[in-house]
Amino acid sequence: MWFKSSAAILGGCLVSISLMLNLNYLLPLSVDAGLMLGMLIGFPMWAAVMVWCYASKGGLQAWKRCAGMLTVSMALNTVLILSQT
Amino acid sequence: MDKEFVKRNTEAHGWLGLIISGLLFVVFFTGSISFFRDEIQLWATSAYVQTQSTQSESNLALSEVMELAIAGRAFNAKEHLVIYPPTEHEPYYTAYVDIIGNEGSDDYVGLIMDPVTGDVVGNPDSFFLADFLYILHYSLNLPFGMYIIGFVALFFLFSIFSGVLIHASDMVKGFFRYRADGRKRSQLLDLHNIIGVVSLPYTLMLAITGLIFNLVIIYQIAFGVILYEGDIDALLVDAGFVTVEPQWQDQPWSNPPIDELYEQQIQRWDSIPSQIRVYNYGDESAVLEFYGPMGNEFAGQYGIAYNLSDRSVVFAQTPDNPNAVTNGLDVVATLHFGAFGGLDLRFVYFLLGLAVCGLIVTGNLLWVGQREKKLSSAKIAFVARFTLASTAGVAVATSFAFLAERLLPLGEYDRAGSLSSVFVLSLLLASGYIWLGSNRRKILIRLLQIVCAVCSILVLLDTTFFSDGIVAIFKQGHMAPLGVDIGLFLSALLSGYISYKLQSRLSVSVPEKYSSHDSVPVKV
Repeated sequence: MWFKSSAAILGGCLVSISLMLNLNYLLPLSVDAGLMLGMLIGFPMWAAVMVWCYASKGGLQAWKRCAGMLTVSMALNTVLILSQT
Repeated sequence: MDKEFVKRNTEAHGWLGLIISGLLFVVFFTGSISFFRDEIQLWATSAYVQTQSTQSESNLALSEVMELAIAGRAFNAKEHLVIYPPTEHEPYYTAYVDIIGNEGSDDYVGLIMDPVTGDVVGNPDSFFLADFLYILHYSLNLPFGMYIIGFVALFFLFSIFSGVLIHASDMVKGFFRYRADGRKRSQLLDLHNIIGVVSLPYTLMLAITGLIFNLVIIYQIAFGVILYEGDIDALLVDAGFVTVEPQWQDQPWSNPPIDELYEQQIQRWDSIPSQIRVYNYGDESAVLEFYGPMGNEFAGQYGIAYNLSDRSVVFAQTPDNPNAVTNGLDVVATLHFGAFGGLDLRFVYFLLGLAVCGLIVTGNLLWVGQREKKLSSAKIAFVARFTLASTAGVAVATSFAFLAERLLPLGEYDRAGSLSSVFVLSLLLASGYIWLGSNRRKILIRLLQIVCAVCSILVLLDTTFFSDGIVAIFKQGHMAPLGVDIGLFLSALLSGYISYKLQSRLSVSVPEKYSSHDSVPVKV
């Protein structure tokens, strides 16, 4: 349970931040609207990742799930950040 | 849905729900009471603070109040002077005057001022109950408490999501199901599910908005580091947060248009500003800042600051100058505090909040019932005692905090700190009683009887010793203190009734030989 919780809390936080950044880059919104959207959607996204982590067989699977999602999302982050510079 | 998915989430829902239950109960219990924070504040002050009529025509002008607030005090003009004008719930001016103190200290004095004469009739910091309960709600009055509560809210949001998934297949069919004749566990489960489903929009909204208040710093840091390359100030500017830092000119001001600008705000926004702040008071560089509600708007809150020398606008958070973050946060706050309706809406919020307290208790009892045969009796007893201490114990402590607010004398001592100590001490004593006692149902009955007695004493005290102040304020058109007394009376009736019912069931259902045994099944 504790290992799962670490994935749910830490992994969930990182995944939600990364997804929020992608949304910020992809959606045609003003800066302030993007920030507000991040605040509104970030936490439900984090909790949704937690549900997914706790549905895992064990902590390792939970971390693998988070890592997989984080890898894809961070790759997109990198592409978007590099394309902006 | 995959059975394993539901099963594992049910397990996590139960364990995490139990772990956060104590703090979550405190959050919802004190939060529910805090919907009437202004009323409680007026109830607290009405016994000790008497002011003149609050007809706005006879009130002193804002500039006069400012002068009276700083008169004879070591006012630090390079800091701020903050004034809260009289409102429906606080029929007096409240002023916070920064005074010259030790290097780096943030010394100030708080003043309650008669709106007609300008006399200082009290110190707002002496009446701490309303703020104490509110601070307990969002930060437990602890360092880093805000983040602790933030994570409690996060786990609560997870519990809502997992609860919906667990109950999804049965949500429509089982919506009205309550098996009154069923087993104890079925009754508890039905009650837990019904409260959960009925309060779902409310709990979802409170969890998300609460998270925004308490844990937004995580996203702020992440966005600041990645999107703004560490320039947090630029992030705050984009988010609409401004800081006013006028440079001291060392030249006295001449005819600052304080009252004129104040009247202008009243006319423009159709409401009295809720807060007025002056920077560099008395200097040519002085800035006057107003915050207040925009009348008839769902979540309208404006902020505007003027250079008093030439009336130029320093910053304006107004509909002409919209910002999605500040407007969005206004909506978030309005939803969270139930500020978009009247007293009736706050009653609905209050009742739903108490229902969530019931949701927490039934959740813990379900957890205990499910594991009674699997876990040792010591572990089960621990959970049951923990549940009692964090629910009935908190209720007892809160009632004593009300009593302390009424009875602690005013004077040159830390009255607010004493009130906090009364709360903590009574919570510790109640917890000690719970931990040392053997029959938990009897303990619950005693604790409910204590709540009943304390609430009754409060009503008696108000009717006998403090009625003059309450009647005087009632005659000025303020019903709040009377309303709080009615609330206390109803609390006394309710806790007395529940303890009476539990007592009668105890005498019927528990055989004498079990009455002092610790392993009597928990049916709190």
